[in-house]
Amino acid sequence: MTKEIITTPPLSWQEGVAKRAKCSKKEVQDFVKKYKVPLTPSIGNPKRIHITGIVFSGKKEGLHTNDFEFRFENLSPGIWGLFSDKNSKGKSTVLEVIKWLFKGKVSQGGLQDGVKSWIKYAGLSFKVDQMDYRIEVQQVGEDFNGEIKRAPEGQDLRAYKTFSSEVEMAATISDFMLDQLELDQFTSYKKGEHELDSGSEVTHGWPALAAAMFIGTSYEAIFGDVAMSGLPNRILNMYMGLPWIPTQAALKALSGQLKGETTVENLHIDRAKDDRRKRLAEIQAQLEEKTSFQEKLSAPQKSKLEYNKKIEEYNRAYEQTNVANKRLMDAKSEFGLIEASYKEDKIALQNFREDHAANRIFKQLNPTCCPHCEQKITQAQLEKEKTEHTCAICDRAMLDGEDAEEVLNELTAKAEATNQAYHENKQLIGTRTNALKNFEANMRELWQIATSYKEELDAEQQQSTVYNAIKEDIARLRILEKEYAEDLPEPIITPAPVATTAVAKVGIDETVLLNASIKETESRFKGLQEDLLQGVNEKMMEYCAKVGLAQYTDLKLNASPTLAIKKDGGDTSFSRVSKGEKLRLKVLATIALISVAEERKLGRHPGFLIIDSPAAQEVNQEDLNNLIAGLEELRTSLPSLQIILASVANDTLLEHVDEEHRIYAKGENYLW
Amino acid sequence: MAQTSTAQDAIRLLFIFVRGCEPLGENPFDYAGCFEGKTKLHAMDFWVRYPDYLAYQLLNKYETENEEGYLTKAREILRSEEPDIRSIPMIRYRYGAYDNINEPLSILLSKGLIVTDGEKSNGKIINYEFYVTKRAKELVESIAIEFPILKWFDDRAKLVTEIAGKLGGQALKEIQYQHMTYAKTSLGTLIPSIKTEVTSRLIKIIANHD
Repeated sequence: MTKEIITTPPLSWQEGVAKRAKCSKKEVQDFVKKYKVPLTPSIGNPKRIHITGIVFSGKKEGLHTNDFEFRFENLSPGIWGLFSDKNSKGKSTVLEVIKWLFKGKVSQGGLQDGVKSWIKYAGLSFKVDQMDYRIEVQQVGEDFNGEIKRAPEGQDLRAYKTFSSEVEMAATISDFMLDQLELDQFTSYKKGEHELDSGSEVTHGWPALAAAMFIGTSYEAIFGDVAMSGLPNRILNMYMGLPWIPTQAALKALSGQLKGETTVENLHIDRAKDDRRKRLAEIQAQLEEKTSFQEKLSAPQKSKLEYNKKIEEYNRAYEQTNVANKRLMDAKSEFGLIEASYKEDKIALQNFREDHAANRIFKQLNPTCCPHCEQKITQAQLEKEKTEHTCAICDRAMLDGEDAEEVLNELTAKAEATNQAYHENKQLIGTRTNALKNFEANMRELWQIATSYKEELDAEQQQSTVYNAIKEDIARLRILEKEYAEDLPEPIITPAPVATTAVAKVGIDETVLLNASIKETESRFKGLQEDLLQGVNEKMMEYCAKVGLAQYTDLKLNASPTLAIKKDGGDTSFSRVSKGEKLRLKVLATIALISVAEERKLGRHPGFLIIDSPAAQEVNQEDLNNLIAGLEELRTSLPSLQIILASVANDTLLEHVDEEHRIYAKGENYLW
Repeated sequence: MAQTSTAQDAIRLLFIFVRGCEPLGENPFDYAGCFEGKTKLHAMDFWVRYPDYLAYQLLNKYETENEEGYLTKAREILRSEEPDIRSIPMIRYRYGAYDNINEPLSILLSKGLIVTDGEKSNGKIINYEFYVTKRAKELVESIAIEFPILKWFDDRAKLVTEIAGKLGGQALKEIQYQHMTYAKTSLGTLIPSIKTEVTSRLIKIIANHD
């Protein structure tokens, strides 16, 4: 009888999480979208990088002002040395320039600003598998620019990417390296600096990952420079080439951040409640004190409101005065025209009457002589004038004005009419003048009242500053009392991540979802991780004897990563051994990692190490020598490995690193 | 300003001649008086035709002689709007205010009211003497009764005669030239009114007076 084998397709990550959290796949997808969780299922494939040359030049300033040029070229996999007989001969600067160009930015406490400003040109050549690359920078004064060049092996380099500031340089090189090594930026949670700081999510880019290639003089972490916020763990996992590492990193960071926020919020609530109760008691005591003090003071009698009313009354009177003034002006303007007519008509009537009278007088008189020749007028001439109505002097016809009466009547009527209009208008002006005077008087009186009131108000306000201040204090305290009397919500018992409206509606507990996500993610690489770590532990034990750590009987590197050590019959750990041992363990751990990854054909470490030896008094020279001797031996099993070591020279080092693989500043000489 | 007829001008001059002449004693032609010179005639005619300048001179007289009557007269002239109603324009000529008086004078001559004579040169009178006949004097006396409309000229001629006093034509011109508006008037143009100025002056004087 054959047994039917039923195969079920493997669950996707979302389905796995949904199953664990007992929710729908859609809810998992919403969660991923909301918190921007990266999903990275791919396994890392190793890419090998080795440095082929470092060149930099410029002009020194200060004690020495010479031009300088440093060249260390035609490098290949293997061990390379930067040696000097004395300290402070420029070894560390060479390593810092390499770090600067490789990371894209100057390391904290690394290349000094002064020294950096001396460099006018710097170029770092390296090979990534079969491609040649060179990162170059030029800086002259404030001008800064640079580029990444590339070409297939053996061909001339050509510009690939350019940058024109240090910020651009950092971004350009970071993108380039992350892309080359298929590394993703990953996040971790950084705890707050004090209990009321909820901490924050930190995104680590290329400079943090690149730290795994540079072993300096700080041995805080077994991988990288800093033992913070799970960073060494993530670096280890990334370089082991484990899948889902950025996903796990993001979820862990989210978990840390949410927990931090909840804890801080509860602390805030507790403390705030306590503070509020105390403050409420203080406020009530102050209120009682100020209220009783206010009762002893007399309330002000004058008010700004009343003053404003008086000013409004004055403004109305001002407007009325303006209107009255305009009415008077109008009347005066009209009066000008009427007066002109009145005078014209009066003159016309007066002239007519005078002329008429004068003519009558002169006509009653007989002429006595000619005014020209003064000859006497004869009686005959006078008779003729009477009978024939011709002038006794010039003999012309004499005409009497027949319409004189009519003209007089007309002129008289006209003059009377304009006379009446003139006097009426004059009276109107008088009336309006009086009205204007009254309005002006009223306006002045109201102004006087308003200004007097204002003076009294000001005087009273000065006196009642205390009263008003107390009044304002009481009003303010009453508002505060009301606010502080309201209670705060109770502290949150369990971490409750902030839910969006959409998720909140269906009642999904994001904490459950988050925990399920972490579990599902870790399940997808845990097995491989444990397997790889086992391999790394075995490799490290194998290397220990070669670098003078034969007393170690067992090493156990876990995923944290912490390194448990058994030696001389006792248990210890990485953090408790000597600096010389730490240095060797750091190097061994990295090389073991590279070696295991090489064997399994996975991992993302580029395969080179740059080691700056510590000062002689901190690390025993013998330890360093043991390390180098051991590495020389290891190199044969790791042909792609490149190590560049800077150190004070000694026979062992010079023996293991031959002249073609080193630059050596003898005696008092400088490397550059 | 008013524009008057030849008859009006003749009547005005008649009053000036009669009230402004020097009485004569017994004489062969039985003339009532003699008015000497055209300059004096024009000067007195100017004060009759420009009540504002007359008021100004009355105020001068009031301020120098402290005679209340002059102030009263000046106030009446301005109050009755004479500068607007009674002004008859004259132009400023080489010897002061001037108007051609030939036409009104010919009326007075033909009617036997005025007889002209004087110092002659080449058959022409160069310094005029205007003789006022008894007929003229009698006529003037009757006009005030028969034609009250013309009484104003009689009163004004009497007042101007009083203001002019015994001064000759040249002296009167000099007094009138003392006013800047008169003196600054361009030759051949109308002499402007000083009503506003004299009104202000009167107001100040009255204010100080009260």
